[in-house]
Amino acid sequence: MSGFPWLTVVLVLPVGGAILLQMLPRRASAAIKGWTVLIATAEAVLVAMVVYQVATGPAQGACPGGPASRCAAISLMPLPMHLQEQANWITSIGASYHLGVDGVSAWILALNAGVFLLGALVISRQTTERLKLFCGLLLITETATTGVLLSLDLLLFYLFWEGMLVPLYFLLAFYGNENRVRATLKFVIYTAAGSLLMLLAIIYLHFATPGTGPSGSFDLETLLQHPIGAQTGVPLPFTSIPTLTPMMWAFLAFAVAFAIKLPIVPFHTWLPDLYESAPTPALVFFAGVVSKMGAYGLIRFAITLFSGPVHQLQPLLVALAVLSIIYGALMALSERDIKRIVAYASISHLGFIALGIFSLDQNGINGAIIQIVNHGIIIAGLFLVAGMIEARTGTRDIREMAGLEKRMPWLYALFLVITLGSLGLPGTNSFVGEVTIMLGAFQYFWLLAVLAGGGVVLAAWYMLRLHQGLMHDPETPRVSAVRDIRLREGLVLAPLAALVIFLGVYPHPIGAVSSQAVPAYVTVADVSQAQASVSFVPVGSDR
Amino acid sequence: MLSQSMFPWILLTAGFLFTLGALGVLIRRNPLVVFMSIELMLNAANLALVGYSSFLSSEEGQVFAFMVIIVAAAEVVVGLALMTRVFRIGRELDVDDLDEMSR
Amino acid sequence: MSATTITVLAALVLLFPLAGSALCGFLGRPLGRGFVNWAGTVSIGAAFLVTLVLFAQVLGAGSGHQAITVTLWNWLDLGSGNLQINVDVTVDALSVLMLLVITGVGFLIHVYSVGYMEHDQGVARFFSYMNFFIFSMALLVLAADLIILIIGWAAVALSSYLLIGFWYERRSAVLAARKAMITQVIGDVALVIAAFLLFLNVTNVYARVGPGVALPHLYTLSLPQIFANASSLGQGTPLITLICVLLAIGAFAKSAQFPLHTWLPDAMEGPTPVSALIHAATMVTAGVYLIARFHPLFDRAPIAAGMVAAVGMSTALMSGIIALSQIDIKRVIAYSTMSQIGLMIFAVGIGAYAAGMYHFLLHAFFKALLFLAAGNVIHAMRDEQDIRVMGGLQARMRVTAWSFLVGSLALAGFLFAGMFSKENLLGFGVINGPGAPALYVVGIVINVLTGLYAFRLFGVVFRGEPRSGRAMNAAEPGRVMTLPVVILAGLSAVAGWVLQWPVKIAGFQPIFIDQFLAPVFHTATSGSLAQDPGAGRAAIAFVIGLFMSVLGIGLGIRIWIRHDLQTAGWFARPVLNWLPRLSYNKFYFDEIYDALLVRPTRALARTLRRLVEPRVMDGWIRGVSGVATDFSGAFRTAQSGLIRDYASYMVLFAVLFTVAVIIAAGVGH
Repeated sequence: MSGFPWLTVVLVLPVGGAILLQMLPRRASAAIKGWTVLIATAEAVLVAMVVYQVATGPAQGACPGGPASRCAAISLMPLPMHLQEQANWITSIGASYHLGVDGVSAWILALNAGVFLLGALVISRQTTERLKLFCGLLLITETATTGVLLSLDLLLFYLFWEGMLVPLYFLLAFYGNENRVRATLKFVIYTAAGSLLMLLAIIYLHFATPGTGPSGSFDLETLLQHPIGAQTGVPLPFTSIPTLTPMMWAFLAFAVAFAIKLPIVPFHTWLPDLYESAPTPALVFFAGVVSKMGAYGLIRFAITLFSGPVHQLQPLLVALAVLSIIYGALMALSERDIKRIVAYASISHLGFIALGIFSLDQNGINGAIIQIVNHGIIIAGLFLVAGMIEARTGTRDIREMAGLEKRMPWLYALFLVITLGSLGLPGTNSFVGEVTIMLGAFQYFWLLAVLAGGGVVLAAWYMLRLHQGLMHDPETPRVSAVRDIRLREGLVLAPLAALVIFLGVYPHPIGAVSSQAVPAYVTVADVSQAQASVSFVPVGSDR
Repeated sequence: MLSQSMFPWILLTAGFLFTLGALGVLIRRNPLVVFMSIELMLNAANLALVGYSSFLSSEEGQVFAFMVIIVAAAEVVVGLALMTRVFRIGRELDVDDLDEMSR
Repeated sequence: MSATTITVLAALVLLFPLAGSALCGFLGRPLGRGFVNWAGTVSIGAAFLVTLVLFAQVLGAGSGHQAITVTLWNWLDLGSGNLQINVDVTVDALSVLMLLVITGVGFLIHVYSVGYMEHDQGVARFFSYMNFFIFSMALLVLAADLIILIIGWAAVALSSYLLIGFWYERRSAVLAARKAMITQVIGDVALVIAAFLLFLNVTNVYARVGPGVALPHLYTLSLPQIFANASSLGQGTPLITLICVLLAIGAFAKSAQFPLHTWLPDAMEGPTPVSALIHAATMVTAGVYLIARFHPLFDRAPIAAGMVAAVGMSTALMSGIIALSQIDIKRVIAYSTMSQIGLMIFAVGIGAYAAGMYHFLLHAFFKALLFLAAGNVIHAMRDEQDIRVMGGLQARMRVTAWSFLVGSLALAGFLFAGMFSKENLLGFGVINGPGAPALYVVGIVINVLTGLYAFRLFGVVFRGEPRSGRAMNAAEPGRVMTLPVVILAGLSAVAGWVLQWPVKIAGFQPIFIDQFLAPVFHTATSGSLAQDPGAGRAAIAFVIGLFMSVLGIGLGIRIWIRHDLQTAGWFARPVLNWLPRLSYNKFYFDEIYDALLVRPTRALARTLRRLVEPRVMDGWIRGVSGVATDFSGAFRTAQSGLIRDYASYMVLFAVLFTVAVIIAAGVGH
């Protein structure tokens, strides 16, 4: 596969599809949807090939068409990348078009493609107004998220990161229920504020990195090979650790940007409002993929570039992660709106992912990657189910519904599997991620795993409250005329349910790929922390 | 080639034209006339640019003038389209009436 | 016992029930009741036959055999030093004994269910869940890796949850199912944390390292490896004690032991065959199995083991007392189950593992029998479970009544099954365990209690006059329901005698079971708690135990069958006033948990939603945006919306700028 720019194809295919989509007449709704599904499927096939390549091919080996000197430079890359592509972009400031994929991003890329395909499949031709616009925005969003996952250049990454917001803004503000404008505005302002801080930090890194030429660099590879040395700063109260260094500020900027997207409590309040008001197809890929970008960014950029500050702030970071787990769970326990319950449950589960990342342990980070994929599958399923139920009963209030099992046995069964996945039952996919994350957290500090375990118990409580509340008990009048899901809906949900079980019984494919890359990340985080106070020796030079 | 001594007069003319345009924008209520006034201001700026270009014997001023002309053309296209739309929906063409931005 | 054979056989034991579950679940509705009845039972029958082959293999391997562990597939591999888990199954005497009961008794109960669920619409769902339960239980006992064991452990909890809430239109069933599941998840979390401790602390005792060099960590959760290297955790250290306590919490949740017991009585909301299979014979004994399986660890943690024994015995006593006053026929049997499992937990706590497993085996027979017979009664009473409206059923349901009598005698420990296993188990209590004589005394008091409640139930339900129209018109159900009951009655009656044969009067040791399980439990490398009580002590314990049992039975008969009120009064006098009320209200555990755990959590959640989320979480961000809004508000009046206003601002500032530049230029000169 070497030589051909596969990643560029993966990157531009959706947006190219969106442009061609504009040539279709507005009324040809079947053709519009068919084209969108076709593009999303083609993207998924391409991504499957990329993942296969990462799983089987050698890292760093393939020289992606450039001159030999470039290849040599790439082999010095501290992170084991596959299928790299590099081209000049804005030479005067040292920004380049640098793409790559590794064990961390491979399965997230697959999740991305899969969830967008799912989102394309569940668009309703009949009820979606301005279908062409919707499909076009969906495809553009896919390019943006794919770009976030592939970029190895900070400026390029930032471009895609902010680029995500534009199509999402229109998707969320044009479609959805009556509260959507307010909720969308909250989300966009929240996210944009965080991102701008990140941009400042990127510019700081650009100028502060030593040994990168007259105008600095934006390249992750280059920045990792030239860590910023010890800095003076204001000591933390009661200690002599110089904490409030410029690097610390830069890390905080990155962390806040990612924490808002993830989200981590207390940066989460945009999420329930937005999830409550968004249309189901948009919600599927928003909840399934977009919120995972924060987690991905933390792994790829925050812990590698800022290992010193990460280690210093680790107690605070893990505490916030655990707070998210418990807080989200308690909120889910007290809400009555299906979508809000799922939204808070999602905050709780994303807290697990953050906990795994901030444990800075191989198990924890592997678990976080596994859990990103698993949670994407589960949350997409939960929102699909919520959408199906809302469409049939006309309400999302769990007090107005009961006894749906009798009317909808198939939905009951599929919902049950997804619910069990969500509460982390051993044998489902979430268990794999959660147990690995908890092991990582346990190694850092045992109490964290115990508290996270409390989150698991609460998860059983609120998920069963939701599932049983809807499915069991004597029927209420509102559900007496409800029909079961149609075959087409079942065919969308069934693969998700099957994955929940399959990845619980055989998680090896994800673990095998992620564990290729994770040791390098942990090493980078540790090594550059040690060097931060000692010397400027490039990380990759001893290889 | 203009003589160097004419340069202050060119600037004065440009300033006079610009003031005229600005007053037009401020005083007139018909958007078409406002547009014409804006064009007047832009052309005043163009005149100043070309004058400087000649005075300094540098092409850059002229390049900028062309740039301004292009931008002005684009602006007119957008502006006229807007006005046509406003006219189509049956509104009176009065800039004081079009104050939706404040609401 | 070749590894290939074992792999195939173990896979078949797992696959048959799983296939049955899938068939019933997916095809049950379209193909109808007949198909479901066949598919649901034949799958378990086939699994039982395979288990018999496995049993023959293990028997054939003789007393010195080793456990055979085979890997089915690679579950997760995050590189050495990180999680590396294989789906391993292990076949040895212990897992085969468990499998025999699971599939054998399970098969009988499945056959019974065909009759019991005759009129229920959800029969396909029922058999699908039941088959899935057998699969998960088989996975639990076969698992040779702690993570895989936890998966089986949770799958068992899931099927229990589904079956308790089977009649989902009943509010009480739904709540009972939820309570059971949440309790199980608490146990799961305890097991997971125990797994972490094992993962991080077990070191390779066989590694050849120089003096003063730390042993290498194994980073494994494979049970054979953990057990082989158990000595690296030390003897009685805080670490191994903590691990064992966590394992025990998991076991307590599953086996309904104090303080995680409250779900079991509520679980009787499920259909009666479920109560027989899951909440009496198999699932609730998984805790006993877990402790027996982890005996190399518990042998090294005397404090934890002592706690296990004490908890088991106190649960046995408490539930024995509660069983005396309950009025629901299934709840009485449920409390008796808790009590008997308490005894098993006591046995494995004091290190008498084989004795505990022996009681598990016989208990499975007679407790399944009691539940199925109770199911016949409930069926005949048209879903009435209140024993106060029963009575006089012996004349109307002869087969059931006689079987129930056999079951009651076996439970109380006279003539039949319980006489052998329970007295044997208590015999170890004489010298083993913390405060051995004291716990033993409690044990024999429980013997009396057992006789009392067993014959209270029998007397009130089957003897005397019918106390309602339904009881008057009760009739024996069809053969498909009586046959399994009779078979179980036969097993309860003869199993003890057969397994004890040839009866060694002096020893009263279950020779066959002891020898069969010996390879499993004698691999304990050191410090085994259980000391054989010796022939003389065992015989005395047996006689005392038997005497107490007979005393309990006799008292029960006098009070509830002969209606000898004087005896009742004499018996009740020493008992304090509050004990009956405490007993009837199940020691108020539900209320205590509600007040201490459920309500505060709910209140906390409500407070978060009403106050913290809007005021604090949204508040800080609203504060930030408020500052911005106020700031911008100051300039808002300038936004008139009139183009001419904006143009004049522009001109004004352009002029000001120009003037400023000119002045600045002047100053510069």
